[in-house]
Amino acid sequence: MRDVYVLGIGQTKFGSFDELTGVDLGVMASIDAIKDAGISPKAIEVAYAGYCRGPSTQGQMAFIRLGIGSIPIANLNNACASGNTAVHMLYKDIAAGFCEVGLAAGFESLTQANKQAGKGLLAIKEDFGGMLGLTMPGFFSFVCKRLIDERDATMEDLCYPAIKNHHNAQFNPLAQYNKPVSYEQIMASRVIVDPITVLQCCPQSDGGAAIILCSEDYFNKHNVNHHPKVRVAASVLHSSGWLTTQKDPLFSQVNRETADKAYHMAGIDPKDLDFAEIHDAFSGEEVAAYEPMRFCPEGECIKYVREKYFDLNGQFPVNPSGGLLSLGHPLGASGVRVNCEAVRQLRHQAGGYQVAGARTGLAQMLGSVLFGGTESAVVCGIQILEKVD
Amino acid sequence: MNNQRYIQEGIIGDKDGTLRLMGRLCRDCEKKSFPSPVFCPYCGSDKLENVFLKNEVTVLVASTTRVAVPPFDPPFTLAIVDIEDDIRTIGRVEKDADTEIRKGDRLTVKFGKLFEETVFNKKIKSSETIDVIGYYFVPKS
Repeated sequence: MRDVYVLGIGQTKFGSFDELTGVDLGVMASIDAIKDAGISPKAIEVAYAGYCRGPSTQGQMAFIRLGIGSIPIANLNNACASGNTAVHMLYKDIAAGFCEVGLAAGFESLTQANKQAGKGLLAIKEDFGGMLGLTMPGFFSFVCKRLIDERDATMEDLCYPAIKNHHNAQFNPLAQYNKPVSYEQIMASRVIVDPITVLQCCPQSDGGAAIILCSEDYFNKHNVNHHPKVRVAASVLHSSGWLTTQKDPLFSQVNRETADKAYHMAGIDPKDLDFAEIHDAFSGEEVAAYEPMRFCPEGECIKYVREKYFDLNGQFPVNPSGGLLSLGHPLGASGVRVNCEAVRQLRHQAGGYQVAGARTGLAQMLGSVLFGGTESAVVCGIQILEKVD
Repeated sequence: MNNQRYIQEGIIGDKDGTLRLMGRLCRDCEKKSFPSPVFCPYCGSDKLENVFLKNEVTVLVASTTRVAVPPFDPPFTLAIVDIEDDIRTIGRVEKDADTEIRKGDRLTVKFGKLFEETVFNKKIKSSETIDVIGYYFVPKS
């Protein structure tokens, strides 16, 4: 396998854009990525699109508007990990030598999707738990309650990521929300599922993100914008099995297995990471992820929360961008967006949310996390990126 | 009377005139699983047979949804429960508003209509209402 490098990144502002489709947002992000890479769109040899809602072949619809066509293009729906999946497929193509340079874009307009399907919580018919009324906040309420039962978490502990990430997003011009929130505001907001309130949930969002990966030779020849060299040190896509979904929602087995594979592939210890961008659709979810992803020892996540270990200026910043909680969560876009955030940090282009001295970062998304045995699958995508001198 | 269907085929069976939850027992590794897999999730064997499960469950965690999730009106409570060793599943808990469900609580399995669904019947060229029958839990008396 060959090393794979990042030549360009692009991202729209995340928010609610009534006039834009998911394809429009994919086009906008891809244009930014191509300009950042400094190459012609005609140079793209393969392209992948991650999205969850709307018609088939939206990737082709987006890319053809850039003049990208007559190449292999695939559309990928892997829930919130669709974007990581697109990056992973592109990574494999380049690592295996099938092509020299390609594009992965993730995009979504939940505004447009809600116009057609109606806004609100939906039980998923194909999911056994969903048929019984289980929703995403419903599942993560179990996670929160298990943290309360087994880790002695308080509501202040469970709200830590929401407060932290909203603070971080003040410095991110692409975030949907740029205002801090207080514990009192979070707890005063409407209860969705005990103990989760609205302000412990990420918003519904529209947005796009795109990344251009290439071989080392291609990077050395075409890096006309003189970007720092960022290598994809690991790319792992992993799914749960029947037995892992049957386990305790307190500890995400698929997070543990995917993270361990990624650390092994990158040849690093989790302690070597300088920051992480992860799936924080619900505040308590981020707290529960610290242990399985080995950001702290097992049983100690609350101790680390109380030490503010994961603050922007803490020992190990998690979601310095503001995360899904305040940056927003256009489903298909988020998995590419976390990779763009990692590149921004490693290029030291993150402005007010720059992690000092960042050299190695992790980008993760988790998709489809309902509970019910045979018919509830969870998918996790992780990339580890590192700055190369 | 409306037509009826089970919420999922193969998970509810009739034992001596009484409905019971039904799992699958692997004849190779002797482990049970629920809801019904095609192959044993532990060893991959296809030598599975139906087995009736216990009528009592133990709560791992429960929470109450406070917003509408069609076709369910709020509030409603869901719990992850252990039916027997190695079988953990999810279900609705029917209870008084004042009753709090906690880890370790023992619940009894009941059966009945969970919700109605309207489907278009091609044979009669008209919509019909179907009662969806499933299981739920009640606090053990």
